[in-house]
Amino acid sequence: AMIKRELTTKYSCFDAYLNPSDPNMITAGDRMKLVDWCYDIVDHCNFSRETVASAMEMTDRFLGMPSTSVHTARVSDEALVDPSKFQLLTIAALYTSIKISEKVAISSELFAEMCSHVYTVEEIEGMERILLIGLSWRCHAPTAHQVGMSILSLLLPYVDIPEETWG
Amino acid sequence: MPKADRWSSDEEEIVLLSLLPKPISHLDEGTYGVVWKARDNATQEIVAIKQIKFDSDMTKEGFPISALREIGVLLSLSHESIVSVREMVVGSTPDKVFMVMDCFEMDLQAAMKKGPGASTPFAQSEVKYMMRQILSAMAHVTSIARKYEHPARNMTQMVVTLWYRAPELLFSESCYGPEIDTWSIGCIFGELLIKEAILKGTGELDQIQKIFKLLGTPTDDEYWEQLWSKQGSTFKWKNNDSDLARTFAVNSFSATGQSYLSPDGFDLLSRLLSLNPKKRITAEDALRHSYFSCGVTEQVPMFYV
Repeated sequence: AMIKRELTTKYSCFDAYLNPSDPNMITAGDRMKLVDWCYDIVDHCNFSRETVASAMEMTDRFLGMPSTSVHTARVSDEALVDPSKFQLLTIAALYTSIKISEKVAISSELFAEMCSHVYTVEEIEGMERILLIGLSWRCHAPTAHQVGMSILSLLLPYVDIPEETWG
Repeated sequence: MPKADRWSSDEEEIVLLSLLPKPISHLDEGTYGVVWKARDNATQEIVAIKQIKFDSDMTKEGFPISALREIGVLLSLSHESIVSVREMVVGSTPDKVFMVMDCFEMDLQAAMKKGPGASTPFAQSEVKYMMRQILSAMAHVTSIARKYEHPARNMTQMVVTLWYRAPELLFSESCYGPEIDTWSIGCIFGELLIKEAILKGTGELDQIQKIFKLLGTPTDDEYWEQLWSKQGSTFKWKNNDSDLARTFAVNSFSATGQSYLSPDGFDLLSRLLSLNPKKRITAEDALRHSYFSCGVTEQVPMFYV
């Protein structure tokens, strides 16, 4: 049943997302730069890096899956080719992820300031709304790290894996 | 994402009323928003639509954090005894966001006060049925909530309606877990037995006094000594003995207006209402309690039928 579910288009990822053969598309390198920037932000605020993983999971899902409406589809298409839109989307995802995962939320004004006012408060909040709509408000998906740890916890009683290799 | 115009309601903000012959009612107002009854124009099903509140916070924090977290958890839940969120719907402006949920005729409080047989106590079998539903729903919520929990996180004590609020919250305990919910379930259990809230405090201090009057003051209890000492509390609480056994008569058939309560039932009630949260029974363990495996068989309450 799980394989069948994975094979449906609902859960398939666009081939075009981060495809290195298309010169117009944003690249894995663009994504990595943004992840590093997100790490700087969460490290500065003493937040968990898992919050970044959660933000990138939302960004990837928004861009990698079929959109649920014409509007979100248009934003997704733009973000796939426009680094500035992609950056705004990632910033909005981090903004949302902090609210969901962290004890302390950052106000949108302070967040815009931390982004050096590259984007306005209205742009960040507007993109947050589009992101949430695009994800059908499903923003608690497990990150790859959490899935890995979950599998590890099932395996540990049966195998001897050195603790220093868990993380 | 479906547009809001798939639904009919008398609430203008949800738009499009054409299909309803008469206004559909305003059902309730929860912590996070107003709930409306509406009809899904695609399926003709009656649904509940909850409008997310956008207070002044909206200007400071974008989409409200409380709503974001509530939606996330509710979308993760899947249990026969928990109302399911079917989908989220957006309106024409940023502050129009709605949760579309299953709609029920009445909540438990309305069933107790206005449902069929409202003038007589619930049968023991009915109470047992409802308690199993509540506990199994809570066990599910607890298992899901573990995914979202933040270890050693200090949280607000301003949670849970006052009458159902656990005593440790009233003493500003900021590190708490699912045990505050099992306390609330204990309060509901008592309420099901007498069809009236059992701890109707008029304020936080009065609530504490009512709790200690019913369950006794926690003396020689390590948890409470530590909590009070941590807070440097100067209050001296009058020593009360527990009044629980007098309030909830066991094996009594007298016309006191109370549902029949077996010794097992009383034991479960006292474990749910344990003043020490560390000794309070969990929802999972409560489901394994002899109250459910012994005695009369559960029966669907009359108001369900």
